[in-house]
Parts: sequence; C-alpha cells; structure tokens
Amino acid sequence: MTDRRNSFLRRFLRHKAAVAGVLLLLVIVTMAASASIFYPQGPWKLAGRPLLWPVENPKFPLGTDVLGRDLLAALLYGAQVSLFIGLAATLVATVLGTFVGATAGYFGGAVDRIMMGFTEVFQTVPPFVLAVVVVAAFGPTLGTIVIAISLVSWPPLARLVRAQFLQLMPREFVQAATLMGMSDLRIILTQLLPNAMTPIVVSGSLMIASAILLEAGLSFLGLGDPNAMSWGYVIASGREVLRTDWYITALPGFAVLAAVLAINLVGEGLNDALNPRSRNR
Amino acid sequence: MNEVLLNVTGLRKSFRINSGVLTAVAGADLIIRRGETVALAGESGCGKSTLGRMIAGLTPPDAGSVKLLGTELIGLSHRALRPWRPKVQMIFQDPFSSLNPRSTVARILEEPLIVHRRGDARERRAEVARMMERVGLRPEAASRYPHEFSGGQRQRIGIARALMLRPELIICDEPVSALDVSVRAQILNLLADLQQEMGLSYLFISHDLSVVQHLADRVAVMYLGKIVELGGKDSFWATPGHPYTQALMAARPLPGTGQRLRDKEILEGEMPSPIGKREGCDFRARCRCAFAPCASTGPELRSRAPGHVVACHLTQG
Repeated sequence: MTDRRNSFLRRFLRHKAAVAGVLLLLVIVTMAASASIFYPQGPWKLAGRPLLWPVENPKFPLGTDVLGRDLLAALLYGAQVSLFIGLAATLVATVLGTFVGATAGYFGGAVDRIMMGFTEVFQTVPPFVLAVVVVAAFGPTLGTIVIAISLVSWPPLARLVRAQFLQLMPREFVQAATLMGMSDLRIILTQLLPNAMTPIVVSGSLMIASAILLEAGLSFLGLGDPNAMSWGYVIASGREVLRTDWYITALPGFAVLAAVLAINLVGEGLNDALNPRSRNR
Repeated sequence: MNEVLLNVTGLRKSFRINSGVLTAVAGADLIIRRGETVALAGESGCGKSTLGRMIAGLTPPDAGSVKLLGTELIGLSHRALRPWRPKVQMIFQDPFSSLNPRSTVARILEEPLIVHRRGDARERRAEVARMMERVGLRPEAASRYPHEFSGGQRQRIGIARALMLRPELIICDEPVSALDVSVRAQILNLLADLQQEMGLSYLFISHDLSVVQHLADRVAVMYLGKIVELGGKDSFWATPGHPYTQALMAARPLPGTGQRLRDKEILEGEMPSPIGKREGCDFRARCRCAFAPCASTGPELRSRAPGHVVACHLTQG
C-alpha cells in the first residue's frame, strides 16, 4: 500500500501544472479562512468612500465598490461562498450520480432504461437554465443554490459510473463474487465502486470548478443568496460602472478564473496520476 | 461406484441477439460423481463455457434441471440458493481479470468466509494463511495486491479462493489456457493433488484435448451446443466414436514421433452458425464420413460401449 501511495504522489508531483494548481488552490483556501480574521465585521459594511481604486487609499488595498464596501473583504468572503458551494454541490451531485449510475449499470434491463430515461430528461434542459428555474422557484438561499447546482451536475456522472460498471461487470472477479453468494449491495460497494473510483474522483474534482462558475452566474443574475457575499454578486454590482471603474468587475472575475483554473489543473493532475493508461503521456 | 454429486438433464440456453436467436446449449445431460473429473472439450463457441456457467448458477438456463446431491437448483431464489453456493465454485480462465485489482490477496481470500459468516477474524486469517500455503504461495504475501504476482501465482490465488468455502464441485473454465506452457503442468498437478486431498470433483472445461488427457476420468466432447460424445477415459481414448472426436485427437501434437502437421488429417472448415434453426447432423459439412441420413436427421446419443455414448449415425446403438 505504501509504495502504491508513494508512486501516486510521485506521479502527481511530476505534473508541474497540477502542483501550480494545488498552490493556487491553497491561496484561495487561505483567503477563505482569513476572511473573518481580517474583517470580523463582514463584507457588507460600508467602509469608506465609494469607488476608490485599488491602492488609492492604503486602508483599502483593492479599493471599494459603488456603495463603499471594501473589495478585499468581499473577495475573501466570496472565496468562502464559492468553495462551500463548489464542494457541497459536488458532494451531493456525486452521491446522486453514483447512486443512479450504479443502480442502472448493475441491474440493467428495465431499471437501466428507467434510470437512464430519467437522466436524459435532466440532460435535455440546458444546465444553467434549469438552475435558474430551481433557484427562482424555491428562493435564493445557500441551500437551494447547492441543490440547484447539484441537480444539474449529476447526469454526466451517472452516465460515467454506469459506463464503468458495464465495463467491470463481465470481469471474472465480479462473477466470482456472485458465485460466493455475495449480496448485490456488497458487490457494488466492495467489488465495483472501488474499481470505478478513479474517474469519479477526477470528474468530481472538475465538477467543483463548474459549480463555482454556475454559482457566480446565478449571483450575477441576482439569484445568489442575499446574505452571502459571493464573487458573482460583486461582478454584478460593478456592471453599471464597468466603463469607468472596471476593476470592480475585473477583480472578482479574476478570482473566479483563478479558482476554476486551479481546480482544473488539480483535476488533470489527478487524472494523469490515477489513470494508468495516461501515465506516460 | 461413487455417489452422484451433480445431475444435469436437458439444459438449454439461447441468447437473443441482433441477427436472431443464438442457441448456445441445445439440451445437455451430464452426471458428475463424487471425486471424479469430467472434462468438457470442444472448439471455442461450442457452448462449453455457457454450460459450465449454468451449472455454477451464473447464467439462468431456459430449460432443464441441475440437481446437486438430489436437490434441484434451477429456479431457486437468491436466498434459497445461498446455502448451496459454497458447494459449487469456479476457477476462471483469465488470472488477470479474475482477481479484484483493488483488494489485497488476504482480502480476496477472506471474503468468501466473511460472506458466509464462517469463523471470527483470527480464525479466518489463519485459514487464509493455511490455504495460501496449500496452493504454494507464501502466506507473507497476503498483504500484496494481485498485480504484484505472476500469471501462475494469480491462478493459484484464484484456486485458493475457490477452495475457501470447502466446495464439493469445482468448475474449471479453461484454467490453464492463459498460462505459459511451463506453468501449466504445475497448476494441473496442483489441481490433481487438491482433488486427492479434499475429495473434490471437477468439471474441467478445455478446448485442448492434450490438457484434458491426464486429468479426466471421463471426457465429454461438445459441438455446437450439444454433447456429441461422452465416455470413460479408457474407452474414449482407445476407440473414439465420433468423427469430430477423431479429428480433434488427430490434431493433438504428439512429441517425439517426428510427425509433421502436413501428414495429419486436419479438420477443414468452421462450425456452422449457431444462429437460427438447423436440421440434420451439425457436423456433416466437415465430416469425411457423411452419408444420406446425416442431412435429414440429427443423430441421438447411442451407446457404443459401456458408459460410452456417441451421437453419430455410424454408431449402431
């Protein structure tokens, strides 16, 4: 086991871009963690003169927005919101997608057709539109946003898990498990899922990035949680002064870009390190 | 004669595929006694693996009966089948896909015991170590993963797994076909030793008659979903009755005789398609002795010698 872990780490560390992604991600996590240390009053406080450019006043290193709120505080708190939504939505979507895909793939036949038909219904609606509808219908809170994002994110994962299962099931070790009288649930949990883990982990990690993007998009449309300062909200608030004070939009935009980039790099690195077939690419 | 362990009658299986109905097994009867090795030989695609899988309970048959020690297994629910599962186990062909790559050898061997709630953790570990030793593996290797072993060692792990539940019958589905020739004999000897020691019965599925020769007490030859010849070893090897069996025997390489391939009679052509309905003897297109009745009626199994049956019009019952 230890040399298996070590070789995984070695392969991951050989991937320069993935290491850069990890470092960038660490910066964002630090931002999120330090928000309440540096700004215990929260991000909504009207701290100074509106529309101060970055470094214009040393008290506000990233300037202020149209209402005079500190942009650095907004970005730090925004990191919290983005990471929370990204992780929570991915977790829910992964559990849901794995459940549907595993059930469909394992039992096949009518169960498979019903489950996959259900999945396709979700896939026919553009994800962002569906998310907007769900949040608009149930009200914008962190909870409904997480639900909405996971609801539009699970179908590709379900298909992936199903495909993995279909590939694994004819393998003889699965038949040996049937032959020794193992229950279906036990076969799924101990024989199939561990062998399908690699692509689930990789696509899950990439899903965090798309969840962050979706949340930013929802907030930009005014469908963010009004009590949570998110990057998308800040981008939207700078919309009207985009020509004169573009930094209000550009800074949180850059934060979103950095987070998505970092997570994608890590995901790619995980894929190369976990997937033996792409090892020597 | 020993007690009848397994009694298979009229087992059939067909699969619906895009181009029609493929008949994999068209009614097979077979008896296996305690402590006996029955070989099931035939070309690839003749249905021998499907027959083995039906007996093991991995593939539900369309019709027929599988009786183990007098109890009908076909039609039993998952739950009712559970106490019978340990009695029939299987050794698979491909030692690279038959072991879970994410489990340690210890885990792979312990799993059957956990599933059937046998012993506590310490007893199970001791049993795993004992069994590893028995099949010729070092018990210290139990913490390793399958990919760290060679093909022959992996096949030993597969054998150990099949033995963990103390089965009565083991279905060996081409257990040495994927192995290097040098390793084959070791595995075959191991299987023979284990049989002696544990009183096992084997259904030994192979496409290679030369592998079967030293092990089998009785040999069944399958062609296109039917058993065309079945006989005890002496009668079978000395006086094969079916032209197909004769052709298979002629194709065996005989070391030291200086015989060349071109001097041999090599079977021409391929098996007819197993898809759709067929008439007459399935072998007639390739048979050097085919005559009029072969085109119209399919031959039934007829007795050629005591305990030796052949499905051929040339054999007079």
